[in-house]
Amino acid sequence: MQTLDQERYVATLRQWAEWARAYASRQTYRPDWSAVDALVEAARLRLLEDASALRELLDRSRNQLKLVDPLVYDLGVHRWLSADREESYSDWLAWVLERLKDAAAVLRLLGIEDLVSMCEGQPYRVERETGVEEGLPESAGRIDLLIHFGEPLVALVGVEVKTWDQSYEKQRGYLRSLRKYRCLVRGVLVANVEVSRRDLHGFRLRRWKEVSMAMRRAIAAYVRGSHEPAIAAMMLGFVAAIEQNLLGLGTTGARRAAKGLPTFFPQGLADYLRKTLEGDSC
Amino acid sequence: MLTKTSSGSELLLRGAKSYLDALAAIAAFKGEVQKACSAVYDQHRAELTAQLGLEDAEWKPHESDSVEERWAEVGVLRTAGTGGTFYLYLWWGETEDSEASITARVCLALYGKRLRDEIYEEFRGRNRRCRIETSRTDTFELNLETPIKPEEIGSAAEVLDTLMREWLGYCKSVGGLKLKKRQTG
Repeated sequence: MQTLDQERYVATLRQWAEWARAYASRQTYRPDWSAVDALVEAARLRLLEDASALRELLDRSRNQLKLVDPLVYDLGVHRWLSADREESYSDWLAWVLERLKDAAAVLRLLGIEDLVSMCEGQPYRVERETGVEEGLPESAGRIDLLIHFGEPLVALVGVEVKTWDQSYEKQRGYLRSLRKYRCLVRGVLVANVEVSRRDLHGFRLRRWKEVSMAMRRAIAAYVRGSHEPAIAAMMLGFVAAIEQNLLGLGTTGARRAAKGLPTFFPQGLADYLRKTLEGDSC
Repeated sequence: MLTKTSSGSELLLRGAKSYLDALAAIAAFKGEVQKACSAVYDQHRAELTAQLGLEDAEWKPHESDSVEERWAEVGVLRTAGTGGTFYLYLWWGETEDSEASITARVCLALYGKRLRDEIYEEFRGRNRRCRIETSRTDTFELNLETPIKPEEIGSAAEVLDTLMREWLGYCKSVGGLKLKKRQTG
């Protein structure tokens, strides 16, 4: 049998249990930021390690180019070279190819290795919008870039530049027109998408990623052989536009890594830089 | 074995203990931001509907981010006719000097450059000091924004409200945007 005191204790406990049932569920949820802080701190160390690996690649690139790597600067919003301005890309590509002043480097950049030994050391010139007999069926055309190698002429390389347009039918006519010259003829389509053999119409596909990687190597060689850093910087500006606007490589990771800040970046970025520095093709 | 580095092991260890709490904290944080944005939207909903020239619509949560590029948006949105969207949100990012940056933003994303430019010219024509800008990227947006210092984030609701009033003021000055009429006309 319970005493009076015991009954009062039991009643008090019951009262507390009721209050708990009534009010416990009304407690406001308070976010636990200490959990976030713990994760942020642990991630910081991990991301610092990644950033340090990327920074090493950027330093190697800087040693090669004698300039800060273009991936560190945000040129993605520069309207002059936004992805839909295909003509600007043709103009800049023509300018860079001409400025390299090295026929073998130009051919390697365009992926035409089979003509390198024949054209190495030869003079060359780059023309824009050269009129040719055939473009679309039954009409004349204008090829984006036409590169003449050798004096007298040894080879002609026609280049079609695509950043968003995907019409390729003019290439058949271009190639037929160029083959009327008594020299070796190649056609190169620079594009960012997969193009079927049928749609290439005899042109070779060179992806923008391959172009930008080869261009970085060509610019490094240009820097080794000349003292025109302003020209090299402008060439690298074009590389940056290709990388940021056409290949979608962001600059935040590289910029933060260069400053030694912890950063999260796509593995593709480090792979791209590593392969470029080591001379691998993609 | 999941990771070979000591920093990787430490991250896993801490993450295993605190991952769910951290996710909950972030979800609660986003909820607070959306609450501030939706309150401003609801307060001005009728007038906004009239000024946009569209049918009434409830807000929906808006979230977009890129961990790699270090930016994030949290707020609310409503559809704005064919392919268009009206947004009210807070934006986090960083400057080229890697300084943290927070911005309160009203954004009208349209489906075409022509309509975007047409409205932009109207705003500019009526208001010499109009702060609305077109997007720098290839999206067809009209943006109105105000920076907020991280330590002043407590006043975000007031900043969003002022921003919404400013936006509505610009819309009124051109007699409303008449989006439905423009898109069907």
